[in-house]
Amino acid sequence: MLYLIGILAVSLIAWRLYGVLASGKVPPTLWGFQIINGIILGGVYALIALGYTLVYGILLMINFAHGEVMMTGAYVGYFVLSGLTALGIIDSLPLLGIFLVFAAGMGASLALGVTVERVAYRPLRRAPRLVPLISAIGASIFLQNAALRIFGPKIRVYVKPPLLKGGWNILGTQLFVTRTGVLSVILSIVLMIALYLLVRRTTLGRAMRAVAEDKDTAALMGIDVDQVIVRTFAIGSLLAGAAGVMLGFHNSQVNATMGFIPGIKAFTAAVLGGIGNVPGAMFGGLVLGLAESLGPTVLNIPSQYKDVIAFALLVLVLVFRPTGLLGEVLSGKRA
Amino acid sequence: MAVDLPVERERKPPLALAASALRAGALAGGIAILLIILGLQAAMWALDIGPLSVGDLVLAVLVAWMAARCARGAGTAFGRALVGAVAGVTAAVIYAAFATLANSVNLKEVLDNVGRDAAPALFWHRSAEFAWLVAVAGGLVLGAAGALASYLPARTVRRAASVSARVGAVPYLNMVLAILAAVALIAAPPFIGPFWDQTLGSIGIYVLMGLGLNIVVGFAGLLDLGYVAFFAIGAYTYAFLASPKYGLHLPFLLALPAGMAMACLFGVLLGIPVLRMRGDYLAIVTLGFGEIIRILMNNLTTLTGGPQGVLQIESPSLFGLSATRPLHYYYLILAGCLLVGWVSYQLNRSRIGRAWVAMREDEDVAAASGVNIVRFRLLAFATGAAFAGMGGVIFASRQHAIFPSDFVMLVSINVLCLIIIGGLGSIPGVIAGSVILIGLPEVLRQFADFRLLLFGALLVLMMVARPEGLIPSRRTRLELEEAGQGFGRPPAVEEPAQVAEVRE
Repeated sequence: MLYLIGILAVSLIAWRLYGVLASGKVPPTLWGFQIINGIILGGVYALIALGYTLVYGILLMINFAHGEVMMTGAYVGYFVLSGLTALGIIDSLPLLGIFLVFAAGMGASLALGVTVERVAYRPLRRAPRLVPLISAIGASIFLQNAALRIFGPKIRVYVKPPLLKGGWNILGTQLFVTRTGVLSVILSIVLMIALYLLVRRTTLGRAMRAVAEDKDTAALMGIDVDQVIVRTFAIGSLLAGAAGVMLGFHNSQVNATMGFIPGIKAFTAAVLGGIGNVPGAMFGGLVLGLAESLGPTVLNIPSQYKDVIAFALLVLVLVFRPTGLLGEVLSGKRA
Repeated sequence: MAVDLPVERERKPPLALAASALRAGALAGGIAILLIILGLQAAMWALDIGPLSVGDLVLAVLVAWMAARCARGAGTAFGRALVGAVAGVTAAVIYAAFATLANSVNLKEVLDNVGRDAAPALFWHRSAEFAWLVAVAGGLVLGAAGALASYLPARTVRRAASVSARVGAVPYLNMVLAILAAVALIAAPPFIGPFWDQTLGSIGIYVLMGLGLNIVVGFAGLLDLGYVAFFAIGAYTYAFLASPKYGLHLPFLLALPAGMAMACLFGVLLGIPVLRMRGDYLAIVTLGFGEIIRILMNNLTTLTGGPQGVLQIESPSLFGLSATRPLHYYYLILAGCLLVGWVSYQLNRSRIGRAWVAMREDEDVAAASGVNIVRFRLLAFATGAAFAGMGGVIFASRQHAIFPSDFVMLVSINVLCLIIIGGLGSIPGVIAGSVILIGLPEVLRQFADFRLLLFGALLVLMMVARPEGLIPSRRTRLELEEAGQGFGRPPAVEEPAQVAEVRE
């Protein structure tokens, strides 16, 4: 039964793709353009998904507020960027300026993420699983609307410093990549490697894996579980802050609702790659980005359906490989 | 909140006391600033009661409460008052410093609610000196008073707070209240005017949806974040069957079951691929499903009319009577609620209900005990969807025009909030939740902008302080208490009395 659905889905895609290729309406440049777009989008998703997957891997809980933590980082980054631009620092010392913008955004996200953990999640550590999940949804709604109230409904425009403006043509062809796009992909790869090393090679990483495995036993082994969880949230929030500022530069704007949909997509990416798996988040992000960007062309449908493609992909992956594309096999209770 | 913050009983050394006073003061000041930058403070300042406003009162209670919390560690009455006063003054200084900042620099660019126009209100429209004096003196007095109030034994306070629980223990009182409420719901609407009929009708539609989602989430434990999809399917089905769109003019009594059946079908269609998923994955997939349905409604322009929606939907008519006024719709909705309420009550008590609970508690154990997981999962999805479809049909017939923007994810979140606040798995809870979440915002218009903000805060607060909801079902309550007794989580402060009550 399941395989029948799979074969049907694959043959449907192949049929539509053949139709598109045979019609010859899509020039090769467009394909290249879509692939580049997909990779950049994937990089952005991966950046957000890294924080998601880290927190989920340790706590087995969707941190719905992750997107909002990211949004806060983007806002604070915007204010610092405006301030530094007014002071002329962005023009005179661009690297330092951009560094400060990232630092401020990440710092704000860190503070917010840890606060959310303290207020909304920690008291619920022993409650049935539905309870923290609902609390997370509440935190997400609260933060999104609080940002709307506090910062006002106005859309803020990130003024790109000259260093991040423009882009390059690949090998002299018409294929154009923006600098922020390239930076998103590089940043997500660097952060992925850093996070992977942190989880695999450091003492904190070992403690995190122990807590993920079994909180009580970890506590008996002398691990301060609360502290490890706070640090996990801190690292996840730092990543969210970096993603927020990057998203601000890339999209050139921030608003209060910018976190929600990318947050959901990033979670989807994390699930696609195998949740809790750091390289999986990167891989899932790329797969999702490419699917969203190439999907409408391949299937010859309007691009408004890209969200439908993303969620359909999620359902298909969960049906056929519930552990995700790179995921390890979890026991039934954890999946 | 008390769950999270155990009462400090043992005496503390002076240095620790000072530190906790400063911390409590800073927390109170921080919360005050949060209320101000959210704009909530301004809304509350606009509500006058006598010489004071609700806003001032809230600030005063906040300071006194924080002072009371940190003062318990001090030995003597003077010590307590001193600690409380330190906390109060700290909070006042933080507040006044922020007010001064807002009055000297225009923060509008960053903080929308404390621009030049709003800042003078932070000084109560007086001079800076006056405001500082009032704030510090107020903080001092309120802090000391709050600290002395901490001498009231905690038990008395708790007993006063649990009066409502005790009222519930009077025999037959619940039944009498229920009958009175039922009589009022049936007899009163003709006399209260169209506004209230309309409001009650809106509440009723949410009760319908709440009862449906309660089956999926409350009884069967399947977190569905895309519930609005079924509401939309019911509404669109009715719109297609009873409007000029396709030239079909089916009578209401035929279109209603059609809408419910269609929603039911989609419930099963959603249920099949997610059969093996649990918890979080289910939540995210259902959320995606809800979005997919909305995107389809928005983009399949030839079929659904796209963003322009479906117009000129016919009013329902039953037995020759046609619904025209809000009152008629109210009775239609009431009838629907009664039917759905009765069905879910019966389901909950039946073999099916027990199977759902078993499944919610532990799927593997339930399967091992002979519960057919596939069948009962699909049944839960289908029943919940059918109820939502009914809500959708009535909604479409009442609005006469529906658009994809009526079916955003927010509706799912609203319904989820109301069943959680009322109490998961509890039918009276769904009603209480709808009245609070849908009815109150209609009445408190000046807080309409803060509705979602407060929903979010309320969800977190409920989960932390009272996860079983306002009117909990017996089962959920016991289950949560069991879960709370695990290793590592201290038993909640106020729990013992309630545990005894339940176990009696």
